[in-house]
Amino acid sequence: MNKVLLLLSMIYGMSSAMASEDKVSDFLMSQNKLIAVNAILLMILSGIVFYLFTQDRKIKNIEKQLKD
Amino acid sequence: MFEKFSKQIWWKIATVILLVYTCTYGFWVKIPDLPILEESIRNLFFHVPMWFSMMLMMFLSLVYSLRYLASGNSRFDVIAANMAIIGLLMGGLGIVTGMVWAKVTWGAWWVFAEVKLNAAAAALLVYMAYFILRSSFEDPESKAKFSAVYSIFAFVMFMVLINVIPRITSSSLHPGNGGNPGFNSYDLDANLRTVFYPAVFGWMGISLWMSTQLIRIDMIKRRLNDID
Repeated sequence: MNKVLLLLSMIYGMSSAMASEDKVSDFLMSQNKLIAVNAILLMILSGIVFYLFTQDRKIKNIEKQLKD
Repeated sequence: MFEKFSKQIWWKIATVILLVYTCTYGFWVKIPDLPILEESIRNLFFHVPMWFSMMLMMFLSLVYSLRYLASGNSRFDVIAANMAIIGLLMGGLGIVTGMVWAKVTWGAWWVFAEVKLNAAAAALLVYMAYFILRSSFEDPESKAKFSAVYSIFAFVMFMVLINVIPRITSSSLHPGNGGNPGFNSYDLDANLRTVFYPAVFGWMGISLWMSTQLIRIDMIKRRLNDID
């Protein structure tokens, strides 16, 4: 639960930081806004990678429990 | 050996690095000036590796099927089946990503005259039949044996359908197939290669990673059912 809250607050912090900083939004507006697609793709990729690592840890824990 | 490998982390981190590189530099690498393809050539870093990943997974599935037949150890059958699941997933992604690419370059979602599309669809059906075959057995031993033998046939069919038929037909829209030399013109482009090769290994890595998770879960199930 705490981890979820931490993640949510991080996302909130990041989004408000992005909104307030003109440099970031200028950067996202450059190159015909293609950078925005790139940023979103990286977010999705990091979500998938996060999921895979979590799943790995869960499986590892169950394997450990079974061994004991 | 495989079970030890699936618990190691170094190749997972390498996969993540390669994919982040692919999904960033793939957008910005300087591409050659290609008619019709234009910016869509960047799909080379996403669509083509799906098929390479499928080929890797199906090849490993074949290897573990053969090892099962040689040893009778049903753990190898579990590995082979789960590799094929991820292989089929990558093949399905290869088909749908190819459809989008076909729409913008050839003007249609599906070109029925194009041999490679139909062959790829047939190859997916061959592997779907593999899972139908698996699900039709109740006895685990005959299930493993029959599906291991079928998977040899499936892999040969897959290779013929994907890599042989498209090359011997006289006409194909795919570059490098049916006497269409297009692939060389960009395969030899050094810029594209700097992203293409890392992309292939990155997507292969994530396929392998997903399959190791399925396999580990199945191994846990076997333990709970007192098979091991």
